[in-house]
Amino acid sequence: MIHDDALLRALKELDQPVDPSTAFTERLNSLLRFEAQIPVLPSQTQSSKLRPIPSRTDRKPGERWMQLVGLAAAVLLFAIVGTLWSLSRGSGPERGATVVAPAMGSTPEVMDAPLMPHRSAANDGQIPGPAPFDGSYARLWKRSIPNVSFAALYGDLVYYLADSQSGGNVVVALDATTGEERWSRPIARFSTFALMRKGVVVGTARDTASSNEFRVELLDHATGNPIWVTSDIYQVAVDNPAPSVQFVIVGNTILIDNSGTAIVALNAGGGQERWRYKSSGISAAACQKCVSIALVAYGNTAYFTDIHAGHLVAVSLVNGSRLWSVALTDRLAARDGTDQPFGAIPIQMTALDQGVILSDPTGYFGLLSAVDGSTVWEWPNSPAIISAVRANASLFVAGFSSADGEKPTWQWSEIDPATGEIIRSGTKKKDQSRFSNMAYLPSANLLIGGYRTNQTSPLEGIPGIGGLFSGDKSDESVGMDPATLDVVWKSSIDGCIVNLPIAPDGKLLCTSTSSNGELSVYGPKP
Amino acid sequence: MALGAHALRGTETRAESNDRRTREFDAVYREMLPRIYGYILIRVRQDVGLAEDLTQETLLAYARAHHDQVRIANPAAWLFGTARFKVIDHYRSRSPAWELPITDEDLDTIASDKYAEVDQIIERAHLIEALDQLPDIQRLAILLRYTDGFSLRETAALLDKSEHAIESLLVRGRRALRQLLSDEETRQ
Repeated sequence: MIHDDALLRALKELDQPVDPSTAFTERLNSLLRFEAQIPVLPSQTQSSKLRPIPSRTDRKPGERWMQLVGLAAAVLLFAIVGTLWSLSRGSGPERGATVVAPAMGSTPEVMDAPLMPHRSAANDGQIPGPAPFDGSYARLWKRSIPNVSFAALYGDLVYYLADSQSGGNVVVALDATTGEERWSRPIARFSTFALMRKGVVVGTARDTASSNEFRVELLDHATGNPIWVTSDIYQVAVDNPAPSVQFVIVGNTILIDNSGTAIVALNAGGGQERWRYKSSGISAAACQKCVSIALVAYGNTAYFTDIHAGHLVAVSLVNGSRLWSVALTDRLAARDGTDQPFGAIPIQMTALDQGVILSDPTGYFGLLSAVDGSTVWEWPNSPAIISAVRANASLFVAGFSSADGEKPTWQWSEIDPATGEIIRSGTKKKDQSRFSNMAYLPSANLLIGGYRTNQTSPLEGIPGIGGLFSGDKSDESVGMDPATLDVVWKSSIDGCIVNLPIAPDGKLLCTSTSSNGELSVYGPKP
Repeated sequence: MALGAHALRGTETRAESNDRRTREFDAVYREMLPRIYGYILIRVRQDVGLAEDLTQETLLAYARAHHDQVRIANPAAWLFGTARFKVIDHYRSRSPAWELPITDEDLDTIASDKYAEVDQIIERAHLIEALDQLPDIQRLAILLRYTDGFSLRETAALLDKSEHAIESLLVRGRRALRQLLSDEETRQ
């Protein structure tokens, strides 16, 4: 029989180093090479709730007092060093970016998750933020703003995009509580903006009215001053009158499309270029009709349409290496029936666990595998999908199908994204105003009904950019339980189309349908 | 400390500082990767995928702290502490056997355990095999108490259990391990 002392002795000497596999070590090396600022690989573990406690075997008697004294000295020393360092920052900018100015002024409260005009990096209709307040609202302020397009309430500021007098665009930040302007900044005419905890991502140009070139800047939430600006200059693909630069934010990485010829990953911390994937296709000049490329990201993979090569490409977010590339021209052109170039087909993509769902208005709808890009499923004679939103394990899509000479038929469907099978569907006309542009709030498990206005916002006319508006045509904003589709929340504000997300303190940003260009903010009635 | 001294004297450029910090990180990473991986692997029943996930999370957390210039006086202690917490957090939220019944019989056994002075050698591989057969919380309690060297009170705090419950787990765990190892000895 084994005795306790032998057992305890063996347990005490149990831990030994073990070399992990080469594949794992290489993957970890790649992650760490980028200063660990990218999101951690999908893991089976949950977020941490416990405070790490130092190993007893690594502690020595009396070390606690020494640690306290050391900590105090370190805090003092770091304060001095930090001051000296910040004073010397102008002496040597990081490669690929220029740090323009340190953030000044009080930092406004911002949200953790990034926000882009097409809602999320995966373009899956998911929106950050809490559940809407279930009670009466009081209007805090209202402003008439001509030519407003994309607008969002993010933390305690309202940001909107509008035409500037010089012919470019201007991004403006308002105080969410009072409506007073905090700052405004002209940006390139084709640029929109994206919001993240670190700041506001924009494209700027010396000649905001006509240039097709831009630099990427990160603006300070509090002041609108640039925190960094890229040294490199990027280009938009085409002479598109509507905003066409997409910023896809994944963790601490900003992805941009450079003229359809390359996908560039920037470090959001300082604007340095992390990697660049170059298109294998022809020059931009051959693609006059091309729209913005489709670019989405999920997990550790970015998917984009290489419009010149006619391929859908998957690249690693870690280092930009190509994972796979599949030709799309065959499967899309056959349904297209026109002579327009591949790049002119406004393709939409939604990325999820299984891979990337591809849809185009000519009637293609299918899932390509995340592993190798092979077709997992595709719908024969699909309607043109205009909206896709992922809620839990389902995908809700809506679109129009039309036979020759017949009036288009509208339909929504809830599908299993793994198989493409329809779980349920509907064609009632009244549902059209709720199912045509839905959003999903994961934190509240709410499907927010919405529709596409198509005319009121130039952004909503751009493929891949759904706009943030929600609400149906009767100016009613509703939240539905995705399991039952029962309405479990309804905004009590007349004439308000809610612009998501909802602020942590319950504030709502409303766009009026009766008078385009009017913004107002409501808060829970005291 | 060296960072502050160099910066104050103005003898280290920013590039030199970055190089030095990179070298420091590389040295810690090279030394600690197999230790942290080995530490986690035993605690997750040799589940290689899970061990890799938790190892990656631990080292990325360290890399981020290093990048943010968080002062870590003892990287080894920091990394083991983080790894330990990752393992416990994983099982706390997922293990169906996290709640184990406690019986008076368990506590009665505490007094009757005999510690004979016998020179017995237990094969490490056999011990790991036996540990893998214990319920999650029992295995973790045994490892925290006897391998990591935490006191009964500290072990109870880490697992968010009462000392009474941990005592019971340890008694039952030791008994089960002895039995499993004895069976193995008999088979040989």
